[in-house]
Amino acid sequence: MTREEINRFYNALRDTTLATTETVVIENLKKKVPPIVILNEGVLVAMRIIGQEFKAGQIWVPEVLLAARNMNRGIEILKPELLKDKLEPKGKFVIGTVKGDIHDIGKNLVTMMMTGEGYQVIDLGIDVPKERFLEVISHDHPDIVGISALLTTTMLEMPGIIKAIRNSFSYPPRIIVGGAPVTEKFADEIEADGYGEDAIRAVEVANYLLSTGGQK
Amino acid sequence: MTEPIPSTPKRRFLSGLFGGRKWDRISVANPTSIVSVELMEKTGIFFPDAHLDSKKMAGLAAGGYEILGFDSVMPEFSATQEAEALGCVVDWGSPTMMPDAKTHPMKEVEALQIPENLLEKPSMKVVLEALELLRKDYGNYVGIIGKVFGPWTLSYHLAGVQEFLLWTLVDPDKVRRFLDCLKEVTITFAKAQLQAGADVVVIADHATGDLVSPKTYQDFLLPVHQEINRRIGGPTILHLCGNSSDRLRLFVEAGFDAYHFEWQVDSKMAVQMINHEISLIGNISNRGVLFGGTPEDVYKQARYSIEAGVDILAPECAVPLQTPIENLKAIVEAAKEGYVTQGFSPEDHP
Repeated sequence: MTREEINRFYNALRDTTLATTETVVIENLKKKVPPIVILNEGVLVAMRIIGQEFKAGQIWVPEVLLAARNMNRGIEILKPELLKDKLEPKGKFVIGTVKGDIHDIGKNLVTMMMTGEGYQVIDLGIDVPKERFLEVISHDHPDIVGISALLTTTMLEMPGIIKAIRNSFSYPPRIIVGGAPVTEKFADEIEADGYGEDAIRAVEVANYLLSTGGQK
Repeated sequence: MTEPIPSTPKRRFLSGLFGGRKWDRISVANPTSIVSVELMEKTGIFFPDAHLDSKKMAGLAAGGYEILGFDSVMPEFSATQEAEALGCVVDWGSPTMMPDAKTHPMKEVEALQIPENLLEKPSMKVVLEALELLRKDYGNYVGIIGKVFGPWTLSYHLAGVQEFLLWTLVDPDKVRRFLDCLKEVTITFAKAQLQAGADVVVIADHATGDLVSPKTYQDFLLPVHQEINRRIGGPTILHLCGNSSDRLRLFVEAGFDAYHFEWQVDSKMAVQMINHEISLIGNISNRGVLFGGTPEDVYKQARYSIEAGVDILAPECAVPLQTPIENLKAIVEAAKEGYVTQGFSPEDHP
């Protein structure tokens, strides 16, 4: 896609009107642009630019939430077309906020960025008990699991979940952790495979873990 | 020769609050909770009882002065007293878990309703009664701090954080109507707390640097905060966490007496920008220092902020419940050294 075309997607994701994204996606489909190109080179590239702007402090959480809302609408329109092409996701990612913790903005930002990166994301939501993580891992076999906590009290749930995952599966998924109180030091102490200090970093770490076959 | 007026906790606190005379040392206070599991054990009063029983609430708050040696007492430990009164279902937690609002019952402007008997709601009344008790027992000697939540935070509770933040872009009018309605809760509760015996009320309103831009604060909240301060009349402290370096001057414009800030905001820079037009209270870091650090780490940060010229020393935000008591006492110890640091270069940013 040309720079100008990418710009249209970017502007659509920044627009407060949902219909703007719908229009851009549908116009491209009518022009016979392959749906996978619209997704990867249009919607997701635009979302990545927005993610970088967020990381650089040029835009704020409301703008990212808006872009994610618009992106999801775009993906929704593309989905039936993409299924015809049997698109393979980049990888499978399970994420949840630990038991006792009902904060989800950070987790949702990671979900949006990972979706934007082409992962199939299974979001378990908030207040997720250890058993639920194990159940989903055994059913869906994700490549990577993300565990989030916003409180210094609830982040202490993390080591137990990590141990349980490693004890329950012969080929456990890689585990990344994050959330406001979580530090790189803490992530190392509890033997997580990776630490995402923010949503963009979480995606980078996930990509790295996937590219190295899971070696940290 | 006349005796100098002695420096008492109350005098130090009030003087710091208004940027007045400096006495022998900086005041140490707590605009937000300093309750830890250890403090609960020492006072024999535990969460969640202390959120809902005025005697226990006052007793646990008093521990901040009696056991930790702070110059102030502050009895509202949670962020959910108002939320419950406004209809959120609140999980009041446990000794190791802070309370949290579990439901967000008002997604539409039409659903917004402030109960007529707001101050009679149990979760509100308990704070007012606790302040009366503290005033009676400590009012002559210790600073008494009240705390209310601003309309921005109340909107998070009532509508959900994500929804509310998205509205700032897609439905700004709705945001204004929420703020306009909910500011009345803030003003009513703040006035009542001052009347019950608080020397000052903290207004916690989380338009934080991590979530929204300075322009969002300026457009939506600044005029509301100005009105709140005008109508309350009594002294107020703004608590707004995250990195707010880019919006410090707006807090001066908003008319607060003081701003309670985080370690992410460099205290030297903050003192320079605020230029003593309002007082600065802060900013010992929770993450990695009060929680997870040593008394020596606390000492270094405390001395840095004293040298920088903050007006009152305090933890940056409500401390994690597992914070070691020695680390909280270390703030007071650092303050007792006075204004000039022994063997520590103020150039060494810890």
